[in-house]
Amino acid sequence: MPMSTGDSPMGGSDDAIDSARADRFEQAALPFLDQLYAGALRMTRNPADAEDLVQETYLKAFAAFDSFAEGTNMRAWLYRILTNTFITSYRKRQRQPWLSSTDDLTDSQLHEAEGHTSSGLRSAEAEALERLVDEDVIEAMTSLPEDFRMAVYLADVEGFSYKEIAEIMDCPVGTVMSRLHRGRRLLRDLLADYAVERGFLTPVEVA
Amino acid sequence: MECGSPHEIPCTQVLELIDVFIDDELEEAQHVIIATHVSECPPCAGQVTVLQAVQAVVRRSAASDKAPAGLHSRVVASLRAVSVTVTSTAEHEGDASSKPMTRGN
Repeated sequence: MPMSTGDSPMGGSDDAIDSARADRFEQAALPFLDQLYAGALRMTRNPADAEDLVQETYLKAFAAFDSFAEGTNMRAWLYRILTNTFITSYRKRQRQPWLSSTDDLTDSQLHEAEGHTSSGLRSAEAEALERLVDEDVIEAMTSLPEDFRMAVYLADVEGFSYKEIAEIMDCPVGTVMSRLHRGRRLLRDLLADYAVERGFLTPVEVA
Repeated sequence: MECGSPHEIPCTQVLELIDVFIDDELEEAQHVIIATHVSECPPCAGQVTVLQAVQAVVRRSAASDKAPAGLHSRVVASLRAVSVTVTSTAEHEGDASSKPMTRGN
């Protein structure tokens, strides 16, 4: 008597379901490739690592696609996976000292240069900053401590809300606020230094 | 530091909240208080202008970022490869794709 090969459906319908799932994922997630790459480049600071990070992010996202709630924010969800992947697999490889967490830096270490000078000088500073070339801005961003850099990037480039950034970075909203506050001031000081160096600003105009 | 003019709330408090203000994340009532202060306090308005300039140049510097030409097809190829593996594994061991996403801290 021939043995039954079992009743489980083989091939056909399962393949079709998997292929439909893959198509749905590609349609939903791939449009964010450029944005994720740009974010990955800011995190890794290295094009080859950024490409690997993006690929790994997509593979993890695809594996977890069933846990993605339809109608919620795909971009934020992908960013969260990107950030987690970076933290778990890439950060350890990179040995730059400024990559450590900086939430416990004191304000005096950060040099909060918020002198209250006249608004005329302030707009001179704003105009000088706007004259900086992208390369200088990218370099300044790159030298920010990682937590600050990511918070600033997610808010100012990606336009995520504080709540979304908190979810992506897995921290309280209050931490997001302090990272943004400190990150932007550090960045502003760095950019002002570039502006002075480039002759767009005289040191007296920097408070 | 104060600019000398009388305000409903002191400049120091405004400066603490400026980021939340420019990110439009304050509650309506608080937003109005800060907006009013900024409109009558040139030094605080100057701070807003500079921080918005910082935001603008950061945004601008990232505007031209594009993934390298080959990355899209590389990602698609790796997804299709995994998709095939998942399909054949699923036939023998159940649905491998239901494995929870690994998350690190």
